[in-house]
Amino acid sequence: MFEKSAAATPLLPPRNMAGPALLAVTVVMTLLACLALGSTVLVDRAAERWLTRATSAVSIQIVETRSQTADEQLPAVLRELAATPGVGNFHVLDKDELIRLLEPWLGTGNISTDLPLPLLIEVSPDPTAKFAEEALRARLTAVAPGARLDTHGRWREMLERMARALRFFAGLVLVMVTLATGTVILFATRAGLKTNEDILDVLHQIGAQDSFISRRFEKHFVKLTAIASALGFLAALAFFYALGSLVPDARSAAFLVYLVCVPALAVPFSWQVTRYYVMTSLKTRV
Amino acid sequence: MIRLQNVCLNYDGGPNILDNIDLALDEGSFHFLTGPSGAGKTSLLKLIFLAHRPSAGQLDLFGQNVKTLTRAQLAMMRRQIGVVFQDFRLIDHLSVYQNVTLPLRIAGKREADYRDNVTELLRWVGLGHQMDSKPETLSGGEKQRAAIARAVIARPRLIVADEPTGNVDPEMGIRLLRLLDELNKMGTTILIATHDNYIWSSFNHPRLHLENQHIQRLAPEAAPYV
Repeated sequence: MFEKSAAATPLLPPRNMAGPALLAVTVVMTLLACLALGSTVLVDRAAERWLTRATSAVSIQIVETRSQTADEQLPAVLRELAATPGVGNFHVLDKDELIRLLEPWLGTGNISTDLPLPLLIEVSPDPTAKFAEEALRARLTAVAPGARLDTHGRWREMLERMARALRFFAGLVLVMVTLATGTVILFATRAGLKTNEDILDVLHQIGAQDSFISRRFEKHFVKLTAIASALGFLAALAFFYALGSLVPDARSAAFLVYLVCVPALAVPFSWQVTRYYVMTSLKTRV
Repeated sequence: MIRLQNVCLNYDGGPNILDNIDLALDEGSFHFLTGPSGAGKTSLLKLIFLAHRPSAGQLDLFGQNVKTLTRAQLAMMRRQIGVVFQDFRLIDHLSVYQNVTLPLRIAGKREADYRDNVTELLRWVGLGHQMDSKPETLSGGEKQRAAIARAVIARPRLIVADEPTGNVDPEMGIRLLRLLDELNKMGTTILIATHDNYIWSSFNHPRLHLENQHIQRLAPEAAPYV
């Protein structure tokens, strides 16, 4: 007999509420948030790996001085390395290895055999002991004036600065996206309240509590945000999956967990913004 | 039940629509509210059904000063008041059945518990065949009957009606008033604003005549239909 039960029809008609436009904006916002967060995570991981490599690769360069050739200084340097706590392994690069290192810059076959090349020692710090950089540098200078300890500090600093800047930038994007999404939801809720004013009057008059009315709006906007953020998340997922051929981390399960945070937080955020605005607005009524 | 002491009402600090009104209505009473257009009948009803708060003076409902109530308590108090609006205020996208069941739905009742009662009431007011119709397809009289059904369905302690028979023929008007009269016999307090002499002269209930900011109590007149 009944077309629909009493509870089946929403009290606020869907046509009176923000629909496709808000959905599209929220999809884009979620996608942006996922891209910002995902990029930060990927850059963070890459920076961490680079830093680990940079820290683990210390090198010593020995150049000829006025009084000693590089080869003459080598034994003293090796003795110092052997006696220094925190130094794990070290290896003196031979001529072929040095040429291979230079080839990317000078070109294959362009390095003549009489090109004066410094001696280079690769040092791997012992991960279990602390490596006193400054003390080793001072001792090396004392025993071999042509020896230069390179801990790649400048590279490390640059990497750290870049990672910090990217984190800040991504954080800023996330804040802006959150604010923009909140504002959009707020305006949509305000429009919904205005459009449904007559219905709200009736509901109020027959004894609806503010929370009852608010729940109608919350339900609508939470549902809309859930759909939109899921779509935005899927779009971001597709993007990062495609990127996975270049950056394998983008396909890892742990990375996925980070991305899921965006839709997972978007829904309660939308819920709270809607609830706050509706409850505040209703309080201005009699 | 209803007590107004020196009550004034104005909108946004404008001139007083109601000025120093005193009124007391007992629980279980039935009154008609009459008076010329613009006398403030609708404004007085709005105060009583809590659509407005007095600008000055004190309004007590069900033994409580409404000024001291929280928003949540006001909402609970509104559930004890059934209102028939002059302009019906049915919700367009809901069916007649859904409109009428609104107070029950808001009160958190289960549909299985009230479906039969609502169906019976709608049949009684002549809308049994239009339960699934949307208000826009109803005539003025049918809307009026749906609005009355919505006002009475939750068995409120007080029913306030603003020109409830304005859009129905005299026979249906009497029929609807008899429904309210029956509810009154079961203890519901009724206050009806009307300018329809035929209606108030057909029932054996006192009349409150509002004119020039003064309420005059008038004795019941002959009641040929009761």
